[in-house]
Amino acid sequence: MLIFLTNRIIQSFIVLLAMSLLVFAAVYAIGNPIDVLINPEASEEEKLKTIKNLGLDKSLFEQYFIFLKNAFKGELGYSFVHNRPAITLILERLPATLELTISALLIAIIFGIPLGVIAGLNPNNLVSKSILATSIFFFSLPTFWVGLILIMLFAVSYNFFPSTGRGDTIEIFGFYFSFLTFDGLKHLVLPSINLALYPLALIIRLTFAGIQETLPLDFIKFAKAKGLSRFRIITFHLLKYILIPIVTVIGLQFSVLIAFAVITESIFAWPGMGRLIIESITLLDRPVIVAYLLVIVFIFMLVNLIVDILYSFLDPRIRISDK
Amino acid sequence: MIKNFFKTLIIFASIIFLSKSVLSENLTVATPHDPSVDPHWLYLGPNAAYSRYIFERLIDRDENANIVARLAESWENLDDLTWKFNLRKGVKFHDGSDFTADDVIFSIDRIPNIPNNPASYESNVSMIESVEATDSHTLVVKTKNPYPLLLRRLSGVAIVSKSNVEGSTTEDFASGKVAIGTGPYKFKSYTPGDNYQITVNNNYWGVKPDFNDVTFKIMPDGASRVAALLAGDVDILEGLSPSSVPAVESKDGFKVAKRASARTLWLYVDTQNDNSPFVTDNDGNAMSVNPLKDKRVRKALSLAIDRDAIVSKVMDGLAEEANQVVPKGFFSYSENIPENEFNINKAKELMAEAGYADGFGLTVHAPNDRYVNDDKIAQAIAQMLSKIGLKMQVETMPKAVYFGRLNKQEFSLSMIGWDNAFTGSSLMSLSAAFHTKEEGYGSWNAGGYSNTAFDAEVEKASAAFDMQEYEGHLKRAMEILIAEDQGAIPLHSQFVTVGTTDKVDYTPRADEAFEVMLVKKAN
Repeated sequence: MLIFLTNRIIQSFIVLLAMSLLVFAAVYAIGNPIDVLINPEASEEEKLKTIKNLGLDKSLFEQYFIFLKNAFKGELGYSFVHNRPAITLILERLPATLELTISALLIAIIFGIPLGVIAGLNPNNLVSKSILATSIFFFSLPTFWVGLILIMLFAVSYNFFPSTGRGDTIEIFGFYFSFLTFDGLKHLVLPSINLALYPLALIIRLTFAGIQETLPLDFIKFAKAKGLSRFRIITFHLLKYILIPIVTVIGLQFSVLIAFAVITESIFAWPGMGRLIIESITLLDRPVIVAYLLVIVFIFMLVNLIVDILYSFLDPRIRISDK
Repeated sequence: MIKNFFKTLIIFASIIFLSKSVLSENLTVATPHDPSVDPHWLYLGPNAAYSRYIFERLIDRDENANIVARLAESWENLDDLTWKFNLRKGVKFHDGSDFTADDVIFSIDRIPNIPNNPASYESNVSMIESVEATDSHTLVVKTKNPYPLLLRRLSGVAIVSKSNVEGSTTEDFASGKVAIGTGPYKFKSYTPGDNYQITVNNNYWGVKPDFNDVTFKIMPDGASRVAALLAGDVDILEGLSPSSVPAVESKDGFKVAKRASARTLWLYVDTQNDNSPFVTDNDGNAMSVNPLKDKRVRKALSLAIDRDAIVSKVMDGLAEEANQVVPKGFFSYSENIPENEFNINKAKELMAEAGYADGFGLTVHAPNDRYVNDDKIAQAIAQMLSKIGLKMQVETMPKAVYFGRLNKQEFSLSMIGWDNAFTGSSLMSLSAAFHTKEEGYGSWNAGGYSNTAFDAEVEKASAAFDMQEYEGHLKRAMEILIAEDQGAIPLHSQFVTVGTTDKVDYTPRADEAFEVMLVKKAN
């Protein structure tokens, strides 16, 4: 286990390094932030001075090595736009994004697995068919459109929920969370439903397929023959067996949602990391773009590691070996 | 028992009633922009607009781009280089300390000295040689050269409190610690990416604004802002796209405030390069001559553009045709420049006369996220120009990429929109975008336009203290640029549109900046 972990950490470090080079080069290629940020009346002289001050006159490699040197010291640079450390800006927004993705994922799991089981056990009745048909809609409808429809329906036409924004927050360990206040929960409902639709559909289909494949297998027949109750067969034998692919997908989806909650965050004016990155890209705020992508890569790696460890608990055949 | 019940009912009713009346003192604004609380950090339009609430300037520009006295009560020119300002007495900062000349000197010093500021306000103070306080409320400012525009420049210099800000960073502003000014509002709270709140300054020396507490909800998505307005979550929304105007106007209880802004859109034409980068012959090969250097070709381009169609179809009527680079009726607008003509036959004749009867290949470049409908306008123009035989292509790109390339003169025909409100005249656009590139001039001359007679008029205008003389030179310069040379192709001025509920009235500013003090309670 220990060797497995150290290997993983070394691998992750190499990936981070490669990623930082890629991102840095790509961001460098987009354009010079000064062209976007500087005020149009600034003189040529002033412009050159600014470029020099920010170190943008150096070559790509020089800039990259300065970045690396600082990164090892734990500094990912100061935002051009906010004049604050890029990593602070990102971590400040992280709770909002986490809150949104976790509640979306919870909705997807809590509704997705039971619905998938219902559809999987009786695939031919009307309820199951409509569950499966609806899940196709959830897959294919564009998020921004669904988001706007949700707002128009539940906020504009019927004032059930606030249209946009994040509600009141409570401070915990220096971070601000909104899911602990009533106002915060009210604000959380629409965006998390919007974000949940895709993973919900995915989990329904996966559970459905898993059950379809597993039901005819010998060990289920054997369990039935043994006289176990239907409930015990489903919850204990069947679910545990099909859970491995679902856990993988939930893990992947979790990282994907964190990284790509951008659209939902923009539409619902949710102050998360996704919005920060979009705004940073339009203003070419290089330090924030680079830091954000590195944070996202880090989250992906962390989640995958956790998923790998979870496997070994779910399936005794998969043991993390030290070879 | 029943009596008691009624008593409580009345108390409850009055509480509800009272809280309602208190509520109407509050204003909620939906805005696409995150503020910089530090008024000297990052000179972007929205930041400068936000800084008006907490901080003031010596002299500011009002909604019609005219100069108004704020912290300076009066001023005079001692000579061409020396200005004397009498500061307003009895003005207090939000922390109760007195506003004095030292705060002004400190603010002017601080602007160029904030490290790593990618967009400094420095261009507003770089002409200042020295600032001296002769007493606590009198300032003498010396400029390096005669600089008539100084008053306009000072409208971009927010005054911060020396005793609070000395030794502080931009981060201390964002946390509210040193966000202390003399303005009509005080800092309340700022949650980046979410909301910014300000509350009224009860000791403000000037006219008190209509609303006590103002919350800016930061919403980048245009459709969500409209939804928030219609859902009753906000009272007013900044940045309403023309396509959403009918949706807001047609609803009961909502309206749209609009006016023509001081921003004029025009096309740069490459008049400098002998091989223009995006001009080809009809087969797509590079040409040995640049047809755009021929005045007749440029005139033909202008004649072939149906601006009326752009205004009515592309802009849904929310724009005003422009025949020069300032809007009609603006200070320094020249009446001697003829109205735009849309005449395809005449354009074809001019093309034939210039030897391009069969046309040539040309690409029009435009940003797609900067001006109202910028990409659609570019497409319309390309279509119109193809009618006189040009093989047109359109390339649009995000502003993040566009402006860098524009500034390197990488385009042949390219769009820009210039805000003239800062100088309140055509001076800035003429001197930055058309004067030959040299020290202090032509920093945005992306078409490479160069004409000595024009340059001379612009230089005379920028040194003129007499307003009539100043305007005269600017008008003459504009006539040379447009009527004689067609060195640029003017398109239109876009409208500023702001959606509101009918509980408030709003007067938009000519410079497109949003200002809470202009939001009034509707009667």
